[in-house]
Amino acid sequence: MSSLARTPLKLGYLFQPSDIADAFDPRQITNQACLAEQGRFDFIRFAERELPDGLPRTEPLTTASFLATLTRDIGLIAEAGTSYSEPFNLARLIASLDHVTHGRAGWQVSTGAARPVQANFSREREDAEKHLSRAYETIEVLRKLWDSWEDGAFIRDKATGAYVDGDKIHAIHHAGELFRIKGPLNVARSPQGHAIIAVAVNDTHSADLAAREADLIFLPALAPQDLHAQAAALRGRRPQALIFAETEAAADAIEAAAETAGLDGVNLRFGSVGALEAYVRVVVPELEARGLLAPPVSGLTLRARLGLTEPANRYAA
Amino acid sequence: MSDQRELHFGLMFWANGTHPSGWRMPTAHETAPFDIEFLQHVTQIAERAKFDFLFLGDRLASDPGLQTTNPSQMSRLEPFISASSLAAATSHIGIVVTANPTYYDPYNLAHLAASLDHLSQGRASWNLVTGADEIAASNFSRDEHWDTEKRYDWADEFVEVSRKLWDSRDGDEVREFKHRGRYFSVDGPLDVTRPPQGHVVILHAGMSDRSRELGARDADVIFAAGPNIAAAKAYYDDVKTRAKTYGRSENDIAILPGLQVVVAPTTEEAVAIYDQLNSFIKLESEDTPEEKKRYGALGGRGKRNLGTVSRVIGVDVLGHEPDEAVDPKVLEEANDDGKKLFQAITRLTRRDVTGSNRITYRDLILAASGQGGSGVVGNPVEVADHIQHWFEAKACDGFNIFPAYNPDSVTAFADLVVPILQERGLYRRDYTGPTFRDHLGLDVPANVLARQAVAAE
Repeated sequence: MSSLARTPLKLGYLFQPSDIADAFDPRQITNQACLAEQGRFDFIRFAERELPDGLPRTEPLTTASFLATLTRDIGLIAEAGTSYSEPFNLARLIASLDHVTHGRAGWQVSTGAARPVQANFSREREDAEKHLSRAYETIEVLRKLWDSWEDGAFIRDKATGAYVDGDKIHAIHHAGELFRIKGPLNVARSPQGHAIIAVAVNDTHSADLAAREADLIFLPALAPQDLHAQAAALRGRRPQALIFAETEAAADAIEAAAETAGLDGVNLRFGSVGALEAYVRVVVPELEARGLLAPPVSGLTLRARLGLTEPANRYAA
Repeated sequence: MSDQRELHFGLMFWANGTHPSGWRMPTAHETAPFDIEFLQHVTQIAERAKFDFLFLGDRLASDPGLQTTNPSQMSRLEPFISASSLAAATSHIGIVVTANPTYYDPYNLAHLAASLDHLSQGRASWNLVTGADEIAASNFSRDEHWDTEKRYDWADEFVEVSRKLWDSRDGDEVREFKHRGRYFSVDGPLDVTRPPQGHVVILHAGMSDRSRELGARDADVIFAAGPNIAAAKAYYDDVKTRAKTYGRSENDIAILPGLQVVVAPTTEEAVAIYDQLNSFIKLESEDTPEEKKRYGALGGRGKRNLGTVSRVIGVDVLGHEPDEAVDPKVLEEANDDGKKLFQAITRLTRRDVTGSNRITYRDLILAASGQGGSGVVGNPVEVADHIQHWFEAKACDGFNIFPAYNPDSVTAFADLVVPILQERGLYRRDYTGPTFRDHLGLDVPANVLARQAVAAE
């Protein structure tokens, strides 16, 4: 980046319990989220347990929802899989998270290709293509369901007793390879229209998924030159997405990610809550001094915070 | 559970109220279903009144046609998401999530429920419904709605698998299991450690034989329909007797019928609120000949009109004005169902067919079409008496209170009725512990996998 006025970076925080007791202690969970918000992260990511031997933890969607009214501004991105969930259930969980957070919800899509947990779901192992096509169709169904109530569907006129405008509520009549879903959803269209969709890229399958559907693309930690090449390739396939990679939580490393690799943001993870506290105290002012941190703003949806456009409703006249 | 019986209360929470027109009351919060701060506020009112739990109902299909009969059921926040946010704003009250195993996988449901139990520090509960709503099938790629037998066979095994999953990580210890059943093949373990309550509290509702068996075997709380005290008592005795065959004691299950309460400082004010609620219900045109044939064959409830009244009470009352007082002869000629309908109206409105305060045809229409026909309406002492009478007759262990509109119905019950029941020594003045199981007097259950391991040795 060569312009004098720097474009501030977006910052993502990976929620990580330090031990099994903290993982299930709502006060510790809240403390970590509030610290991340204080550290001006744009969002927190709640991941599923890492396989094979990551720490057990609370389920991401319920955890994000628990924090909805305990935080104010920070985006809350929950990981959930498409391979073993009914699309109707996923659609309402995610749309509802967007309501309770007043538009700060994100969904990180995972598939059974990366998380082979079929033995918990009365299923056989399937190849990656199958998981991927299920993910595509699930996302397609979710987007339709999220649009099934137009923004003006509710009338709620006490005087006349008209509660909804039936013309603004749409059955989706989805009939695909894997799913037949009539709709409408039983949740009003959410503040962001569609929650932010994030995809972590680890292989060609996840790269395909990201290139087709993602608002946010997460890359692993790599050397800045390698990141630059990967980011450029993905940007060609998905220009509207923001690209993040994991870096060390130090000002120089973060600056390099922006300058050398040309990323839109970085994802940070910390070994302990103490390390997060130190980052908030020491690194955040340094990032600010270097012009890498956007000035604090309140009351935005995650979509607005990230500068992403609102999706149009496919059913609106 | 101690020998001293104590009332239990749940709050049946549909955000727009349990009365079909509750949202139209002047003080009702009509945008409630998606207002999480409002939901938190109502839950806090119930917690101040020491309710056992807040109950989040659910329905898996939506239809604009519900707007005049039950607008709350058209759309709402997903219950696990609501519940997690409610947990963050409260500290003691149990939080009940309705979830239908027919359209869930046991791992996902056990995962969400266990997580909620941790986040709420032991206040999670799962209301197991098997789905009477046939339309839901079309939202889940199903060709048909499963019949009762299949839904309950599936649910029985689903509960068994859920408990194994909850028990599969006991602190740091992983307890291996491989479930191989008729419907499910699950290896475990869950990604969540054993919930604070061991197993989340299970609620169930239903009148069928299969439902009574499931409730007697697996439920901690049963949410029953109670059209009258005799029927409620028969149900109560039956389920508690069945529970004994599963080695459970009478006190292991709390049976709570639903009860819509309209309470105000005076009887007259309470009846006025009740009438105002019902005044918003739109009456419907008389049946076409086609409809007459259809409803005639069903012999049951139909549209909100005098044709329905005529069928239900067995007297032709067509042609009257809704606000007209009912002729006493109609009561004389009415069949048994009709006479019961008159009694119910009198009980709620204090109106009769003689004297100055008369039952109208509108009252009959609402009662005959199944709206505005149940619950209790009265001053605080009358409502407390009703509750005490049912409780002491062992027709129930408490009630699932239906607030007609929010938040006023909740506030009125909390402020006016609860203190009387506390004064009478029937209801707790404070919680004795922080978990839902504590409120119910239930211990944390033994780990089923540990039990199996011991048995296998």
